[in-house]
Amino acid sequence: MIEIKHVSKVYPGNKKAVDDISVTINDGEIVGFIGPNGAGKTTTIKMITGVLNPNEGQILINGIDIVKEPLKAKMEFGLVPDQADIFLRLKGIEYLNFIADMYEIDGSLRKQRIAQLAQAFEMSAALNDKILSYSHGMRQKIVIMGVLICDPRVWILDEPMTGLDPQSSFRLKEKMREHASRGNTVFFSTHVLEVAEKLCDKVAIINHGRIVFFGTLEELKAMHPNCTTLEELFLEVVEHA
Amino acid sequence: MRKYFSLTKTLLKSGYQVTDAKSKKWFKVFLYLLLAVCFLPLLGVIYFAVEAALPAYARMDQSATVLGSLLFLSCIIIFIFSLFLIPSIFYFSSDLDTLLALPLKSNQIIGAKFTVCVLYEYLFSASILIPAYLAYWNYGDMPVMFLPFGIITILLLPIFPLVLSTLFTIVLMRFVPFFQNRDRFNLVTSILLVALGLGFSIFMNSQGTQDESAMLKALFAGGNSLLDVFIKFFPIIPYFAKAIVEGSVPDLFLAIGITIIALAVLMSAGKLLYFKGAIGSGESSASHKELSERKLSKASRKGNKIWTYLKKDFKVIWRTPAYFTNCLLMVVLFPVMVLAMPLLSQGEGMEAFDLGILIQTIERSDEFLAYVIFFSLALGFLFGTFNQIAATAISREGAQYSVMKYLPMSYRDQIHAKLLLGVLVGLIADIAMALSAMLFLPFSWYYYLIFCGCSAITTLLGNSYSIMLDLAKPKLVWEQEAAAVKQNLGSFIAVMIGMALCIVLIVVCFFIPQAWLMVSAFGALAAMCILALLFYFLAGKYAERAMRKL
Ligand SMILES: Nc1ncnc2c1ncn2[C@@H]1O[C@H](COP(=O)(O)OP(=O)(O)OP(=O)(O)O)[C@@H](O)[C@H]1O
Ligand SMILES: [Mg+2]
Repeated sequence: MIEIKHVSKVYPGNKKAVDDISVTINDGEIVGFIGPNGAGKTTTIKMITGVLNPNEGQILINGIDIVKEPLKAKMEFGLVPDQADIFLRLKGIEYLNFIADMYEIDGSLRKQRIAQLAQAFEMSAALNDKILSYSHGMRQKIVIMGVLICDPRVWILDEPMTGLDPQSSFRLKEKMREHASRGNTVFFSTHVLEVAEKLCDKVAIINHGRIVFFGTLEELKAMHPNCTTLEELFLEVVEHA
Repeated sequence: MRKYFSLTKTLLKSGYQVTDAKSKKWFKVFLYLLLAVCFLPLLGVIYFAVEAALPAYARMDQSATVLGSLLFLSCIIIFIFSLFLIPSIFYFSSDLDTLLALPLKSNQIIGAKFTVCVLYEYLFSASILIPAYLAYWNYGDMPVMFLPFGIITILLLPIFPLVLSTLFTIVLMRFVPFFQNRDRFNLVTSILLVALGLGFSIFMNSQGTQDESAMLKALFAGGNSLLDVFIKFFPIIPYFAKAIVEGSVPDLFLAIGITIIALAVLMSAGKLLYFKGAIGSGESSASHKELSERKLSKASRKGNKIWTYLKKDFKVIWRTPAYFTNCLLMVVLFPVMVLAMPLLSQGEGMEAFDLGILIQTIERSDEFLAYVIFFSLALGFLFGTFNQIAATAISREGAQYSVMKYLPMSYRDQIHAKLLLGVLVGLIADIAMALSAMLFLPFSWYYYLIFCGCSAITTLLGNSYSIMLDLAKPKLVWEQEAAAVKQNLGSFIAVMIGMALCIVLIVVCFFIPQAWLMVSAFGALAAMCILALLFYFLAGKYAERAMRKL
């Protein structure tokens, strides 16, 4: 469960990047976060994960305040950041074990998960190489695997599908659905409306730092009956907010 | 031609910067002034050396020889430095991928990049030649065209050595694929560079010459066959020298002609070879081998968080050539240098007395232990922080620092892990120094144990304040890893503080009255202990505050 309460963020010398947003994502839900470039998605995710401090408002993850009890809160979620070029000098296997140690995952459990996920994402042959030698999509995959291996209750993913091949993208969606069905929370940003439609229980649409819609797609469609396609719907909401 | 000019302009603008983009203007000016002040003595040395050498040569009607030597010095410096610079500019720079995709001819890319290099090298040619010109001018009796020809020389001289090193690099990159890997290339060249520096200092030592002006004089000494050979590499030198000193126009034209021919050769070689070498100069290699079951099990053991974090940081340093040479290689080379020094300076009155007997006498004095403690504490600051691991701990993360913020590990623990890595490498340096000193300073072994123990304390203290300095103002915006360690003001200050503390401690202990020596030594030891522990905890506390603000 993620509770975002009246959160705002102002970058120094800039307008409000995130302006008084409130969203509650319940257990067992997959919520998609969509909006135009520069709308404030990454900024919001950075605040949820403690990378940025909000100027106003409060964020709770499974009831734990990220600002007041950062360490406890961080154990509750795993993050796939928008920029996957991290730890390039480590080998894939070393990265996974580093992350697993951070989340205090047991040895036998992690070994089993690593083997399983490497199979699923076709990364077995790459684990022994440095991440520096990976392609863009492979880097994305290793970061995703890092989260899946630790399997925290809340998954927060910033554009996780970019660069993934159809197969891996499918596997990831499968895992996300599985995770949510076990009563956990998944929150991810995306620009692919079809993914949002097929996968999400709810979507949050953000524009110019404000939430312009939060709810199920059915509700959204009901609100704009003249829109036939998702694209039209999205443009309508963003432009006439 | 238009494309060439606009590309040159763009490259210059996005080029090398000492400070990060956020620094104030006055700060940049200050830095350049500081650099200039550091350079001044060198310029003075050149001036006085020329002034001293000139009369004798002029009497033999050979005043061009002196200038020739300096032209040679500029050429060889430019050549050697550019050997390391050219590959990173022509092959490993991050703009290459973009440039290769643009509709540009290889000559336009090479031309623009080459021009940028030439502009940078003017710093060398001007700072060596201007003092020499001044000395000539003061000596008097110079031709009318001395000044204009001199300026033309400063402007044209760097081209020839740069053509040589660029040609060398282009051929190497085209035909020796081993060097197409940036990491490998950086590692090989930086080890070479350090070895070269070491070799040069050993050479200086073995010459038994104390001041540089004597060195230069030795260089001027005629009949030096090695010099003659080297000058053959730069055939422009005699012509430029004659043109300036005798005002001879034909010589100037000859020099310019050779330079133009060299450029033409470079351009045609570039046309043939550059793209083939540049395309596919990759970053890293991959084996694509499956991980064996046994290896997987071995790798997937649960570990202590701090230890895991420390190991991660160490691996990154070990595998990043820029960090490896700056943070680790020095630890190995420093003791080697210490070892080499007495061996080389032998024969300069060293064997006039027996070191062993001297040491025994010193050891017997009552206050010897006090001196050992003071020196150990002092040297612990120096050797312990020399590696800059703690001083660049956050800077090295660069744009990736946000990972530190979302990892479920407290900032205190993360900083302590980074700090402890610095302490560990510092301790290794302390011990290595003790071991290499043991070989030629036959003090009793337990003094070396005391050294290791005492220096460990100040090593901890030094690393603690170093990491706090980096926490306060980390340099997070950089293009290449080398910038995080080499162009980092904070870590520079940290090393300077370490040196200052070391010197202060050593100087102070000689001013303490004998009766107080023992007491003050143990007092200093206790104080350092308390300070070290205090700063260690403070660093952890400060981490929580500083990291939140980043
Ligand atoms: N480090 C920063 N400093 C100043 N302003 C920033 C910074 N990062 C983002 N911004 C501004 O904040 C706003 C929101 O940016 P954000 O990265 O959250 O957008 P986003 O929704 O993730 O966009 P995208 O879809 O392109 O990823 C933008 O207007 C951007 O200019
Ligand atoms: Mg974003």
